[in-house]
Amino acid sequence: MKSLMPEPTAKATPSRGGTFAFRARDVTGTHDIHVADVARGTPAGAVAQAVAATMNLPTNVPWALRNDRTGTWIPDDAALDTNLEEDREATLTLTPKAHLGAREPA
Amino acid sequence: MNSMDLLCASARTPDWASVFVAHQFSKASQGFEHHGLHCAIQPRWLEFSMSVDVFATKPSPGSLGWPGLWTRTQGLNTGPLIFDLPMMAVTDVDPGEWPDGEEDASFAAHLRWVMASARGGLPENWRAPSRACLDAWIPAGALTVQLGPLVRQGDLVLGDGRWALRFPVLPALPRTLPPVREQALLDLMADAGARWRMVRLGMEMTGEQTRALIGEVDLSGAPHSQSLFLASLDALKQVVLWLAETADLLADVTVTLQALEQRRPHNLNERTEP
Repeated sequence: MKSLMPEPTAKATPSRGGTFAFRARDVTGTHDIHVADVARGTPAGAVAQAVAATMNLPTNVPWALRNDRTGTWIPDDAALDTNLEEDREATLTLTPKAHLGAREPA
Repeated sequence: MNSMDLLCASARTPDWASVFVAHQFSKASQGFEHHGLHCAIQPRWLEFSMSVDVFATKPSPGSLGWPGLWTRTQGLNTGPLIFDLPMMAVTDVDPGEWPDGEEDASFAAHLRWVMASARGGLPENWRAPSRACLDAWIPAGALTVQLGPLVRQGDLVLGDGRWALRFPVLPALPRTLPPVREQALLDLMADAGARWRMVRLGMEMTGEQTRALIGEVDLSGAPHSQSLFLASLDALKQVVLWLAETADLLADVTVTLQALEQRRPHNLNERTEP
């Protein structure tokens, strides 16, 4: 069983114990997948890159994950599961990091 | 000699013979020997080996959780047990790290680790390093492996008498797979055991109906060596990178593998239709 597998028909439920699950979609809504069996403590940046690969998006682009419920961006080096709600399965949007010339945050 | 061999040769090399003799080893044809425990000194490795019959205990030596770097190189439950100690772990050490201050304490401490772990035990008075010490050694992001759509998060196991690094090669496997898939996975694990030093592989139940394929380097009983720790982490990540995609494909029953489906599983009790 793949750690990240597109299962659009699967009913989404939060996972307890050593792994967790969430829904992920890209900004256009073209891809909407259920991501399961992600080990707790996995950094959000690595998960973002893996989700991009699963969606056949370019992997030479830095990707980030945004929590749809709170609107917050999840830092690359933060454990993804600690930035998600425990009582429901989160939906995250995968977005390319495009600063469009803006200054990098301090 | 290539540049790596020259580097090893120029590093501080312990007086092997005196340390081995001090621990009741005797000179053998290709190294040293002590009651069935053999050591061959190679340019980059100290290769310890023993027959599983020498220290036959339960659980099986070389299985997940067994202290030390013991692995099997000829199948998961057959063949001799091998403990591969990288040469740089015993030649690139500051004597000041060791509490007793002996010049060759680094190698002697490693040898005591090998001997104790061969019996499933730990050196006397051994304790695991502190979490703070290991956090200072581990580079940022070093416990994460991302390979295309696969991401694997490693785990640092620290406890009373336990120090290990573990990575899930396959984090979620069903309890049973079709026989040909199961055999292919076992063959893959056996091949990895024959190819890679220091890392052992094993299946572990994670729930009533699920299990995981785990890669592990066990440092329980080891001297607190940063170079050994980082070499262990690197070895384990290399194995995960090498195995993860193939293992993931073999375990994915939604993908048809015609060559595999046509293969007859061996050593399995399977009735075939006439």
